[in-house]
Amino acid sequence: MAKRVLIVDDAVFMRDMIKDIFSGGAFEIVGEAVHGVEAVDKYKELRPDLVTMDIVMPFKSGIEATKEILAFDDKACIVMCSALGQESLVMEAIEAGAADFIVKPFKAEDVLAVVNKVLAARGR
Amino acid sequence: MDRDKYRRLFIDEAREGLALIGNELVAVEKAGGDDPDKKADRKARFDSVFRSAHSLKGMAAAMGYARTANLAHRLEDLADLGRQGMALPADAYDLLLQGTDVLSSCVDRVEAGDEDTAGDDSTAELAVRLSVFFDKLKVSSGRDTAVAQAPPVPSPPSPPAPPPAAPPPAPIDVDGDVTVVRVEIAPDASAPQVRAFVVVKALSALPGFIDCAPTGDALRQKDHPEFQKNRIVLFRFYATGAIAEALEKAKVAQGVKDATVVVVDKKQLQPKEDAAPHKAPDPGADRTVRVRTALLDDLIDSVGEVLLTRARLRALSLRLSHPELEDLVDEVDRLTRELHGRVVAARMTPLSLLTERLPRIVRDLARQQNKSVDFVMHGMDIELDRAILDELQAPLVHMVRNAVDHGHEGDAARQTRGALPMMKLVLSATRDRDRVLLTLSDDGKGMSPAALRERAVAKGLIDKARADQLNDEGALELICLPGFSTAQQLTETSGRGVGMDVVKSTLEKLGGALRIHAAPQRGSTITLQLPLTVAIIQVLELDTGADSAFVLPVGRVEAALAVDDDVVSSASGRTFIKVNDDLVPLIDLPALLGLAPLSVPGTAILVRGPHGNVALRVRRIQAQEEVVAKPLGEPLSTVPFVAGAAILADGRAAFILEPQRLPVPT
Repeated sequence: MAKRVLIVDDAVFMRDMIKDIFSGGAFEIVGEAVHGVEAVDKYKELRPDLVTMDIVMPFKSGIEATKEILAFDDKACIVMCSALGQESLVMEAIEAGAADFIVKPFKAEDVLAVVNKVLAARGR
Repeated sequence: MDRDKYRRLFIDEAREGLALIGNELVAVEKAGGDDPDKKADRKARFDSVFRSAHSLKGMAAAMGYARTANLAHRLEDLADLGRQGMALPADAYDLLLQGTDVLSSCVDRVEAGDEDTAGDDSTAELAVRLSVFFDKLKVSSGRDTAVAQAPPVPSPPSPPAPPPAAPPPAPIDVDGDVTVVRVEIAPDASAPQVRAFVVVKALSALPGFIDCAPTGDALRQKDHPEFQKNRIVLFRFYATGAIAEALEKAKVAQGVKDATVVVVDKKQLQPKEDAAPHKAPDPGADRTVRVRTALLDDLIDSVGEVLLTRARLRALSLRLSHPELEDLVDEVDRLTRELHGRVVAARMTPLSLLTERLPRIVRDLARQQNKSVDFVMHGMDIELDRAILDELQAPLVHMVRNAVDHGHEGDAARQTRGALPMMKLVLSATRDRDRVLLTLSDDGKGMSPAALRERAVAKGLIDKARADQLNDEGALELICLPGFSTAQQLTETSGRGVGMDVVKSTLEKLGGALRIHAAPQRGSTITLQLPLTVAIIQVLELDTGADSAFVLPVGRVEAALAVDDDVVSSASGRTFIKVNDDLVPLIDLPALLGLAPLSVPGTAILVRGPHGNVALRVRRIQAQEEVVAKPLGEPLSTVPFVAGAAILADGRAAFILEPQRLPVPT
C-alpha cells in the first residue's frame, strides 16, 4: 500500500523535486504545505505516514512545526530537509523527535534510503 | 537530475526572488531611524531577503550552478547579519544590490541556454568580495556567528524542552561490565556531524546506554575538530544492555560506514547548550498558482466566442418569442456574465508587479547622476488586465528615467532656484469608473510650452503657424512627436527605440490616452489614462450609410449630440458645432472615410482627435454592444485609424475606429 506523504517546503522548486523522487507508486503525495503553520494544520488533517519538512520557511519554521506535530502525535515520522550550514538546526529537530534528515541538493537514492529506513523503523 | 524539466521553474522562481530582494534592499536602505519600530521593520525585511537568497541558493545548487549558488550564499550571509539586527554600512547595500544584479544575469544566461557559464569569473569575484566584506563586518562587530547559521527558532505555546543536563565527566575504565561500540561515519556522508547525531539519538535511548563521546551536545556544536578528523563516535553500554540492537541500529543508519564493538582508552566529555526564542508573526497568506499568459489569452478568446454566441442566441430567442427558450437564454446570459467576470479577474494583475522594479531604477539613476530623488508610489495594488501591464513596462521606465535625467537639474541648481535639493517624484494610480489613471509627477524644472513650440519649429517638425495655434496643452504634447528630442533618442533607454512618441502610441493602441501638464520651474505631471481591460469593450455602432460597419469604443466618446441648425455654424469654409461654450470642428465621418457623404444632419459624436476635440457626424448611433476586440492582420493593420475589428451580435464584422488617428484636416 502506498505510503502517504506530506511535503513541506516554501519553494515550489523543491516541492516538485521531492514529488518527483517519490513518484513511482510506493508513495502517495497527500498534501503540500508552504510554511510551518500550514504544515501543522495539514498534518492534523491528513495524518500522513511521512512528512518531509523544510527548515527555513516564513511564519513558522520547520523546527517549530516539527515540535508541534510531535507534541500532537509523538509517532509522527518527520524527515528534515536541510541545506548546508543548518546542522545545528537539524540536530535541534532531531533532538525534538524528528526521525532523520536529508540534505539539499537531494540525491534520489539517498532520499529514498532515508525515508524507507525511517518508515521501516516505525513499523509502517 | 533532469535539469530541463526544472529550468523554467528555476528561472521564474529565481526572478521572483531576486525582484523581492531588490525591493526589500532598496526599501531598507531608504528607511532610516533608530527607533524600535524602524529597527524591527529592517530586521523583517532582511529576513525576507535572507529567505529568498536561501531559496535561490538551494535551487541553484540543485541545478548544478555552483557559482550562482555560492554567490547567493554570500548574499544570504550578509542578509543574516541584517536580520539579526546589525546596522549595515552604506556600501553594503551597493554590494548586495550588485550581487542581485549579477545573479539576475546568471539567470538570464540560464534562460539563453548558456548554463555552463551561468556564473562566470565575475560571479566568483563578487562572491569573494562579499565574503571578505562579511568577514570584516563580523570581526568589527565582535560577533561570533558562524557562517549561514540561522538564528534560533520561535518559542511555541508549549514550554520548550529544558536543555539536557550534562552528564558528570566520568573517567572511563576498561571494565569487563562495559562494552564500547564504535560507530564510524562514512567519508562521503553529507553533514557527517548530523548523521552522527542521529545515531547518538537512536542509541542513547536503548537500554544499557551509559554515555558517548563526542556527546550529542558536543556534536551540536558548530565544528567539532576531533570528530571532523576521524568521524568516530564511541558509545559505552553496560554489557547486559542492548548491544546487538545498538549495533544493528547503527549499521542501518544513513551515512554510517561501520559499527563494531571495541575496547578503548580514556575520552573527555563536555556539553554545551544555548537557546533564545524570538517571535514569529502569524500568517494568512493567499495561495496563488502560476498560469501561462498564453492560457489566459486563450481563455479570454473563448469567453469572447461564448459571449458572441450568447448574443446571437438572444437575438434568435427574441425573434422566435418562445418563453422557455427566453428563460434559458436569460440563464445562459447570467452564467456567461459570471464567467466573463471571472476570466477578466484572472487576467487582472496588480500594478505593483510592473512598478516594483522602479524604485531600484530611480535609486541607481539618481546615484549615478549624483542627484537626490525621493520616489514614492501610491495605489499600486490597483489591478489591470495583464495585456495592458505588459505594454506599460517600457513606457513607465522611460518616463521615470526622463524625470530624473531631465526634470532634475542637479541638487545645487535646484537649491539656487530656491527649491529643495531633493526632487519629489510621485507615481500614483487611481480608479475612475472603467479607467485607471496613472500619474507621474515631479517637482523638477518643468517644461515651457513656449520653448517647446520654438524647438518643434526649429526642428522642422511643425510649421510656425501650426505651432502658434496650439494651446499650452497641445504645446506640451509636442514632446511626443517622433524626433522631438534627439538627445533622448541617443541615451541608453532610447537606444531601444522608446521615446515619448512610442509611449503615446502604445497608450493609444491600448485604447488609452496621454495628458501632460507642466510649467517652467513648477515640475511636470504626465497622466496615463488606461482602460481596465483591452480585450472586451463596449462600443457604439455607427450608422454611416455604408455597408461596412464601424464602431467606436464607448470610452473614447466624450459626448453625443443632435446636429441642429442652431448649433451649427460656418467660418472660412469649415463647419463648427457648438458644444457647451466651445466651437468644435464638425466633420462628416463617412466622407472622411471615403464613403458617400451624409445627406441628413444626423448625430455628432464628440471625440478627441489628432489635433484636439472634434465632432464626427454620422447618420445615427445604431446600437451599443459589448464585443471582443481583435487585432487586424496585415495589410489592414496598416490603416492608421482602424484599431482592430470585432464581430457584432448579428454576425457582421465591424471596424473599430481610433479617433486620434483619423485623417482630420488640420
